[in-house]
Amino acid sequence: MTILIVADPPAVAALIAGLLEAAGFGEAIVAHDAVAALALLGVEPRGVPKIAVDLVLMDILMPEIDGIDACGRLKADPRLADLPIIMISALSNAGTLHRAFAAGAVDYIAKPIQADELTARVGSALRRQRALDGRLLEGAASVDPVTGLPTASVLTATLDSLIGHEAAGALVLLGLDGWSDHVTANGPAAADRAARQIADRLAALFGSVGDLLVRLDAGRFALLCRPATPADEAAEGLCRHVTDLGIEGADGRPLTATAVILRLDSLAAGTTGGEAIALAAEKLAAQSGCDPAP
Amino acid sequence: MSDALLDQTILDSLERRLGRDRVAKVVAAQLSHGAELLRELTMLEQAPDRARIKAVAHQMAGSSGSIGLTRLGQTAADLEMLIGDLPEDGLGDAVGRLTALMRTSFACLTEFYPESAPGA
Repeated sequence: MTILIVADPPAVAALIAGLLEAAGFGEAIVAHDAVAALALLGVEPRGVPKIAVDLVLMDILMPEIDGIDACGRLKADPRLADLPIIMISALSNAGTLHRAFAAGAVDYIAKPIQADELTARVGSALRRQRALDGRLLEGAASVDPVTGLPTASVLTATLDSLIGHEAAGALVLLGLDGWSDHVTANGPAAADRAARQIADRLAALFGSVGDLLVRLDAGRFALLCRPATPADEAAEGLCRHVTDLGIEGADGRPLTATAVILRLDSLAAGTTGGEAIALAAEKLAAQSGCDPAP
Repeated sequence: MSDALLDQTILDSLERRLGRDRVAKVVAAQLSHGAELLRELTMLEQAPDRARIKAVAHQMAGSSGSIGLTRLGQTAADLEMLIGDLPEDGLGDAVGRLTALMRTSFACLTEFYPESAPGA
């Protein structure tokens, strides 16, 4: 669990961070103004987020960009539209609160900070978000809850519709080397953060040009390339960008990845999507030594 | 005097949750930031600027009460709210009163957390 605190007086930010960490909410990251927060989250300038967060606590009165404006900008980014944002301020007049909620805030905490109120409201917002996520997932097993990417079921269905019909597309399967050791060494929360980082980077680079990027399972991603996309360049790029993220692997060195390519026109007529994924997984296992079973 | 300036029950409660070291870091952040604001207020006392005074008062109001400096927090909040109604020739005095209270309050806080004093 990671919470971003965007607050101007340093003492307030340090106090909130301490109280949340002491209450077991996980890691608290501080940004001292909205400009820094928008940059950390990859909103302005638009790019790959430097951090993945579960909740934002946002001061209202800040220099340059005020908290309500920043809240609106975060909510306008589709990647962050569901991120719960709680406003903090000594200002509690109805007009200010109305603007904050209209901008997308889910709650409001008044200064001076009261520890019990802070932890209760943060806990409540996180529980609501988890419940909402759960309901969405019940009806949408097609979305990976950690990364927001499509899942194997989407890839399977798409391959079923493509195999035998499209001449030159390709499936690139990406395995994160030593992923299970990474999870064991760093714990599931850190692994989820790393998976989000990887997904966000790859989605920003490969997911917006008509190719289909999916999270196949915990340690594997897949990119279904259109005929126009050079699969070998994509495979090389996927691996390079995972390494470039500098995520520390279980052995202390940057996490790396291995990619294999399965060209759709090499498949026998009648091959199903599931069989195609299994074939690619076997190739990947042979090359990297990771488990071929999805 | 210390009791009136500082609500020690707030600091005790924070220490129970966070431990003394972490509270001392919060106090250090307040004292360090407060020193910057005092420098700015010293200039504003000579050349008052309503918007800047309001901004400084807002920062003091937001942070002071959270760490037990309740009188300073309330005084700063009052100044922030009333600054628009003060006559021009009253601004310097208002800044002077806030500055004096900040100095006294920080001295009081430093008695309890000498390790948090700037340069300690």
